[in-house]
Amino acid sequence: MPFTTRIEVLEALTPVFREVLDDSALVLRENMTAADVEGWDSLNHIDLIVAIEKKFKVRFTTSEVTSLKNVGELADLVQTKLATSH
Amino acid sequence: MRFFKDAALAALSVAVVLSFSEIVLRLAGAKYPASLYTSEKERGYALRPNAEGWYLDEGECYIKVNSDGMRDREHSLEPPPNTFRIAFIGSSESAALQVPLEQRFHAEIERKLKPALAVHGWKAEVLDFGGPGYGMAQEYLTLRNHVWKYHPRIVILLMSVYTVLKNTRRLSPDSEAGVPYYVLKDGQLVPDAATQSAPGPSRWRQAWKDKSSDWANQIDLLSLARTAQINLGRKIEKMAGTVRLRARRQPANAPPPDYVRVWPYLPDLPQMQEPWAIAESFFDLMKKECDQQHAEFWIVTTDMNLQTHVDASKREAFRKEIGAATLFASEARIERFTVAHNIHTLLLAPILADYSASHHVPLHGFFNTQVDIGHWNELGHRVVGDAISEELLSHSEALRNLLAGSQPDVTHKASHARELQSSLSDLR
Amino acid sequence: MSYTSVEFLAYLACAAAAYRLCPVRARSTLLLILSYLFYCTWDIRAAGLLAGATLFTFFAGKSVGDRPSHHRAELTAFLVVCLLTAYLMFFKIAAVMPGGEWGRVVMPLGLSYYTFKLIGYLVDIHWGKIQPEQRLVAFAAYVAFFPQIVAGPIQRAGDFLEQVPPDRMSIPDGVLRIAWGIFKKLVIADSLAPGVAYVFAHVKDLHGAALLTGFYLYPLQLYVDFSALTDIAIGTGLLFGIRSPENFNRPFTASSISAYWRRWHMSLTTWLTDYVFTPLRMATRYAGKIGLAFSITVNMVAIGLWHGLTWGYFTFGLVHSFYLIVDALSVKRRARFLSVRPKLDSLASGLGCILTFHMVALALVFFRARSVGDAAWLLSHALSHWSSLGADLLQLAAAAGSHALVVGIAGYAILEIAERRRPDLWWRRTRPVVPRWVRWSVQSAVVTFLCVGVAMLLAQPSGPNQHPFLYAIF
Repeated sequence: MPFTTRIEVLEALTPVFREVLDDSALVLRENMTAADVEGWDSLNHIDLIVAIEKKFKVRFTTSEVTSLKNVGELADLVQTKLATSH
Repeated sequence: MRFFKDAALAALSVAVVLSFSEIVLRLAGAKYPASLYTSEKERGYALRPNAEGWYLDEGECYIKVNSDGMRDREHSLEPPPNTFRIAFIGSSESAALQVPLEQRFHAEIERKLKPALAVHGWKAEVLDFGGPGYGMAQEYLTLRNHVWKYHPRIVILLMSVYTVLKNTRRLSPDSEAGVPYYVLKDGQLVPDAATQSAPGPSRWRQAWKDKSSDWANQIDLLSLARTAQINLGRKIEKMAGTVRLRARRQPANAPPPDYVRVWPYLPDLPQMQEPWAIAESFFDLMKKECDQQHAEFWIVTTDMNLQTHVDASKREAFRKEIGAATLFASEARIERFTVAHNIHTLLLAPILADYSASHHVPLHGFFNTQVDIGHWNELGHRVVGDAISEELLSHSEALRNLLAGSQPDVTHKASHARELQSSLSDLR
Repeated sequence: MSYTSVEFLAYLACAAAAYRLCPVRARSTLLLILSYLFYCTWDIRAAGLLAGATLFTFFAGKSVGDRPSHHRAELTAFLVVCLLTAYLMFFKIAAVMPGGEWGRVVMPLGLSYYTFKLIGYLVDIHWGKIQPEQRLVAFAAYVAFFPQIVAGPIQRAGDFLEQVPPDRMSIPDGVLRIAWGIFKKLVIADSLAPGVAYVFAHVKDLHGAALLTGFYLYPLQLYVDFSALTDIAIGTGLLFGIRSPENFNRPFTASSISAYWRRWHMSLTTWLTDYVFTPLRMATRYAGKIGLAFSITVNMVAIGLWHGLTWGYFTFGLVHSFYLIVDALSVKRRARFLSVRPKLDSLASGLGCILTFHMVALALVFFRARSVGDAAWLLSHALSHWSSLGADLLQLAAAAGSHALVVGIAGYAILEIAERRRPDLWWRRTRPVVPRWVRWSVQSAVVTFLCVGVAMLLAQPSGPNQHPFLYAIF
């Protein structure tokens, strides 16, 4: 199901983040980065990516992942992937 | 008005920082090379009375100069009863700034002579008049003007062969300002023209310099500043030197660049004849001086590094390099002279060469120098002290007379004091 | 020239003066010239290698960035990275080989640092993070930038190039940062050095207390020495108006080993994370915990071997990979344990700090010891001979100089306080509001300290540097 707005994507991403980062109160914002979230570092960054890939049935490449600057860009990337796969 | 108040407070904070730095430097045990010398007309320079501070060039030693400008403990002018005095004149080997007083050969001689003398109720007292960097002229002047008031029975010239080079102004490798030079005129040694006309330092200026040097030695921050200034000067000189490519005016027949390292081993070189002639005249002059004062005169020659290096291959390589049949030619020359003129001699170089070769230990050098290069280390001093004591016990007539029980002539008379005064005024 | 030599300071003074007078457009060229001049005082042939590698990567970058076809770009990027890595490996391997018939190959100054800059630049272009730099002079200045060439920090191309040409110089900040680095090096690190060197040189002759002292002092010495080097590098960059990335963020306050690695040698660890760990992890992401363990191990062994191809560095990397794997696998469980016991939080983080420090110190023994055997000996005998505790410590103090040890430890304490209280930031906040006499007093005090510092630099015994910077050999 394609998302029309970024907000929708962020809403869909939130449970994934909450599960992987073990924080049930986490609220995602567009300009959020790993530095803003306790427990989000390079070690579990890829766990997040894997969980997102599983949930949305998409695949990312390394270069796509490394050029992400914040959650907003991640949301855009997911949206693009979903749009092109449909 | 507020300006002055603000400036005063700023100055106060500077004072606080400086005091704090001084305290930290002291707590950290910082050591900086001390200033130990003063300038004088007579010998150019001398150890400054009561100066004290660290010597860090070879080894590490805290130096205290006594009130008479000797690197020694305080000695009374009159010898204590039943004390046999031996005086050493010489240069840096005698002053031996690298090792503490108790480890110098002077203390070793006192210890070694003690048993023999104690039997007769006497003890030995060794006085050191060595001046670091001195040449034979300065050693002679020290003997004439500074030694006799202590009434030694034996005077020993600790002769470093390197000092022969310093006998002529031309060949002297580093001439400090005001250092006296003598020349032979009609077979007599006289100060050269430049020495006679040299004005000498102004009294007030010198007193101020000496006082401020003493303060600088006591206050770590000032020693730090002085060391920093000296190092900066050296760095700039080095840079300027490489830029100028050593374009100094070289006189027509300048000696080859490493002559200081090689010529002392070659006493037969034509360029060395004048320095050697002056050296021998100094020996003669010193002997006469001692005869006048009824003291026994000895010449003990020190070694040069390549004669006694612990690595025998280095000695051999050097000998081949300079094309000499033996490394001890200069000692042989000195011995020929002393035998002919009836002067007691001890040549240390062969003894030390033997010792270091058979025991494979370096007699020179410290933790901050190359191996076995430089002045005697503690072991070197011990071996030297033992060698000199043995030689004195077996060949010194003054000692033998004492040990045989007869009382030698008590030498100090008022007439001698008057003689001393007149010869001093001759020099000025 | 050594960073703590008067020659270097004189060079900086002249360079800064020239820079000040230089028009802004010409500043990149001046930086390039200054950097190569500096590099040539070390070795001219190596400067040629540096120039060659720079040119090669510059044109390779343009080629990768301009290529329309993804596959050809990928192939080109892959080949260039392989070549640069081989270039680095050649010298690393040559460094551990005994001198052959071609004589000993000497590792070019800053090889590890500038090669990483080049590889990072190329990969960033391939990943689309930056555009290829069109100005050769600016790029060459980035690669050879002399404040960073000796021992980092490893700055990213984008971060540096967007500051070039810098229009303002931060002279007071730069000077103070450099002075702080020199103070740390000369007063603290060099005071701890003889003690540490003595312990590691005589491992088998020493007993418990002395070995334990070396165990605890070495991490401190390494931190102060390396962070001093970084301070001088960053301060020098500031003089020329360039902001460099930080390398350290109070590493010993980390309460877990993964937090430690986010605070220690940060420019290197972020580089390895971005260019080694993340790609590897992406490739193994479906391999579960095995994939994670594998990626961590390769990453940490790479950090170890980056320092040199010895068993000691290898073991160091292996030990840290073990730590990090355990840490990664247990982090969730630990967080859940603490979330229901909030009162234990501060105790846990305190214990975590202490434990982390010990873990780091242990791995560093392998890093520093002359051989793995020596390291194992030290660790197995550090807690022995309690009865001769006093005598052992006295023996160490005699060998290393008790004054030096006291100054070093006291100095380290001052360093910790300064890093926690940050007097420089406090001053920045309060300066505008204090009366003039306070301003003048503080400024005079700082200038006086600087003068004493310069005098101490000048008064150092001449000749080869007594204690070279530990990280300037990689």
